[in-house]
Amino acid sequence: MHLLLVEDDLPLGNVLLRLLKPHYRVDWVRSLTQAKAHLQATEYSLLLLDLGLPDGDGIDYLTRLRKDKNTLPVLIVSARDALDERVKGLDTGADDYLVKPFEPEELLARIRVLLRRAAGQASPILTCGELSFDPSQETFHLNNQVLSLPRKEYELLSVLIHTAGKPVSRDRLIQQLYSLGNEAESNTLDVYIHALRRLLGKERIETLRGKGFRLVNL
Amino acid sequence: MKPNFKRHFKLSQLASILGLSIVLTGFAGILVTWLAVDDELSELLYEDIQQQTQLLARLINQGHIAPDELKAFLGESFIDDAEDTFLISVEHLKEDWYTSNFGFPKSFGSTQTGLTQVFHQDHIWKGYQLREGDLLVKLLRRDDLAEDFKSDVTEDVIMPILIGNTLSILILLILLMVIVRPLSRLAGLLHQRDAKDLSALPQTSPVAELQDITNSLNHLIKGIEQTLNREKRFASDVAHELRTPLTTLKLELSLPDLDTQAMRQEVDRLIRVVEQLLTLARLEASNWQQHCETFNLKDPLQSLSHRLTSKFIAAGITFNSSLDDTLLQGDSTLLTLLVENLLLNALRHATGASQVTLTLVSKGKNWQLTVEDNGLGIPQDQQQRMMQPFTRQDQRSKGLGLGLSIVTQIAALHRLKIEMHNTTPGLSIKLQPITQLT
Repeated sequence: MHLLLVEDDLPLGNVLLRLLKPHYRVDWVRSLTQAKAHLQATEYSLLLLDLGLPDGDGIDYLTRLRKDKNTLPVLIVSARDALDERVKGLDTGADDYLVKPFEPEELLARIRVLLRRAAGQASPILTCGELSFDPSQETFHLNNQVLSLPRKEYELLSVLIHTAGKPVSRDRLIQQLYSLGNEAESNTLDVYIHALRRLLGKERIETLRGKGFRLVNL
Repeated sequence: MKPNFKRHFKLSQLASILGLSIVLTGFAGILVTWLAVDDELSELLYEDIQQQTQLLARLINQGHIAPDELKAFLGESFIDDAEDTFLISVEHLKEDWYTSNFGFPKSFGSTQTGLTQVFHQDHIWKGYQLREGDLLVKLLRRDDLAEDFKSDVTEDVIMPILIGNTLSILILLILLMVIVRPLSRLAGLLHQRDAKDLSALPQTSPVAELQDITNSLNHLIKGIEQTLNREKRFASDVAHELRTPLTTLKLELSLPDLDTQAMRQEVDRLIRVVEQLLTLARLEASNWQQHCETFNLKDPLQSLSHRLTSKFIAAGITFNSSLDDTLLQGDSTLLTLLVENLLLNALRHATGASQVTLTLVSKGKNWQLTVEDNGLGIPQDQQQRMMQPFTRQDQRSKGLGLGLSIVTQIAALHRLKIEMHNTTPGLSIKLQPITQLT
């Protein structure tokens, strides 16, 4: 899962990055201009948006984003706590609104909810046939057995299970594996897919020519 | 709301009095006209009848008219029962003859010359009797002739007066409609208004003066709204400035690898915000205990310069100061805070500045302090606005926008004036005593 964090406060951005990094891949930008560039270049699973930013208001940016039919889940993280501001944020198109200061557990839980909802699942456990994923525990189960996965394989599988049986492009998976500016060769992806297939069974990950990969409901 | 006037009245009461006075004046006009006509007419008729009586008496006395002739004449003429007919009676007291028209009987009243009045044939007759020798001549006219005259004249006067009065009362009613009614509506609107409702009032009257009042009220409401918005934004800025470091601290504490350096910085940041808020609160409450003393401004500014030099160097800005010995009266802590705020503003907000200069020049009793940078300056229209509390140069600026507000308040306490103007390039802020003679 690839998150984009937009926060202009240096110390806060820093600590948020350190909080989120063990769970997700996170890119941190400090302005709306940078955020725009990142959103164009990369396919993110979630946007963490601060409102008072140096080059504009997060609400205005969100309005434009939704006007352009962008359905990216957005979690507003702001110090503005007035009722009308929270309502305005949600009405503009945010999926959730978290007021600073907040507990780290709450932020992580809300991120998990948004990712799960985006995957089209209401249950806290994401499933695809006999394969299931518990985001809060960050564990996969196959046939009720805990799957122990290396880091990269875990990252890939969590992306695949969040898309609920729809194909995921090679680019999207490569982005998940590597941070920007550190592009891997595309056959490295095949190496990890191969490793995953060995662990799950070959038939669970389907290759779709020109479209990428898909988790099969078995 | 208590009115300042001990006695107050309603405009409608005043209008009622005015209306009443218009009606009374009208009636008084009619009455006075009637009386005046009565008076003038009586005089006129009296004089006329007096002359005619004298003429008749003389004609008879000098033998121009014989008593028989007169009898025949009176029997034929002056017998129409009309308003302007004369009642004539002639009596010779010695020769003992008497004649009259209308069958007026010989009376035995006074035989003296003068005004006389009789009642005959259902009418009051008023006239004059003249005694010339033994001749007593009476000439009388029916009273309703005078009455008719008076009624005619009065009727002629009544019409214009009534029309004028009706018109005046109509205008008065219109005045009430366009002034009192809109005023009451305006008062009602204001009375019903919720304290949070800061929308503009509608115009309630076509009268320019009342529209002016509404416009002024709307102007005031707008000013209040702006102030409220500014304070609301300030509250939200305070929340942001306090909550952001608090969030950082909270998150830091939850992580296994505590960054104590970052935490310390965040605590310092919180302390700074709280101190600024406290300073402003104390200044605004004006209960700041002024430690007024005579001191040399150069001393605290010198140590301030030393303290800030490293910050300027870290920001890549050359900082120069030139300080004259300047003795003045005031609170040295506050004045130092003022200069510190000006310098920190230059450090933080002077976009593109590579040089900041602090100058203190002393000439006798007068002195002038200048902070100059060579950055981009501030647009003219923003300069005035920036002196108000809670205004920040733009959204980008960190902090509460209190720096310059604190500066202006400290300056006001010390009767100092601040001038801000763009230099090419950069911004120059001058501080000097108000009472200074140039």
